[in-house]
Amino acid sequence: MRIEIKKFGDILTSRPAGKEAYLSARAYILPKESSEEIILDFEGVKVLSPSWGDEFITKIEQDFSGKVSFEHTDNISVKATLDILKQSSAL
Amino acid sequence: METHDQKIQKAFDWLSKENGENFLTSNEHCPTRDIFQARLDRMSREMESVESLRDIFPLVSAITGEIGNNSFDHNLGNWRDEKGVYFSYDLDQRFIVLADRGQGVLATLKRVKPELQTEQEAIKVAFTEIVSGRAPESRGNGLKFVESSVRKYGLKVYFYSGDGMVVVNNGLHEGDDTRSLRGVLAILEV
Repeated sequence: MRIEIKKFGDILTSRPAGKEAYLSARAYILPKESSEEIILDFEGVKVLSPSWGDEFITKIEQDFSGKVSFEHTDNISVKATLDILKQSSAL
Repeated sequence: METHDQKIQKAFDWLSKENGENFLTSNEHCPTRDIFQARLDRMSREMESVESLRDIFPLVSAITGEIGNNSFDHNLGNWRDEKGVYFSYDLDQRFIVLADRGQGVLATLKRVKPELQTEQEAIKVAFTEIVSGRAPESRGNGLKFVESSVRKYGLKVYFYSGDGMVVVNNGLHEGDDTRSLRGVLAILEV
């Protein structure tokens, strides 16, 4: 399954917004089966911060361990956020 | 229009006052996270339209978001008096100022690292270790993100908490500004 992150907004910086996005995705978007591959597509995202990412990306990685991949990560804030989440062993 | 020095002095003055209420204008005071978020979004779109900032603005917005949101994350229900943050910037002069009248970094981290004794120690830990005052939640990478991004992309941050101060640019350096304040103040130069 491909999730277009830009559908949650193009400036993604706060922890409460990330948490709300995750809960909404859990309820209406993410598959029930944790064995399914998940692609997080960052095309069109202008700003991403670790706080938003920790509440959304980290939680999805925990739910779908080893099944999550990323696309269109060229934006420097997307790259830097994924790097710091990896360093903190969140991903 | 206020100059670079006036905007920064205003943050120092706010944090030095015995009572911080009714000092900031409504344009520079963000009493709630929603208001801060809306102004951060507006600043991001303004930066995007500036040719010389177009490449770096995503990172500058993310850094500003991390520092500003920290104020709300760690002081909710625990402000000294006036809640929220002072948020001011000038894209022509390429700087952003954020300040809060909260409990500061030492008080925030001492709950999970009781061995910390000074603001200076606490600031260094906040910028270099994955640790958060909001245990048992798993957090604490925000200022590490700020440090690594600033170092990698040639930005500069002056960060004050209480009587502690660091300058972050090509590394983390102890600052020589001896001004003491109550709360947290950050100046980001782009």
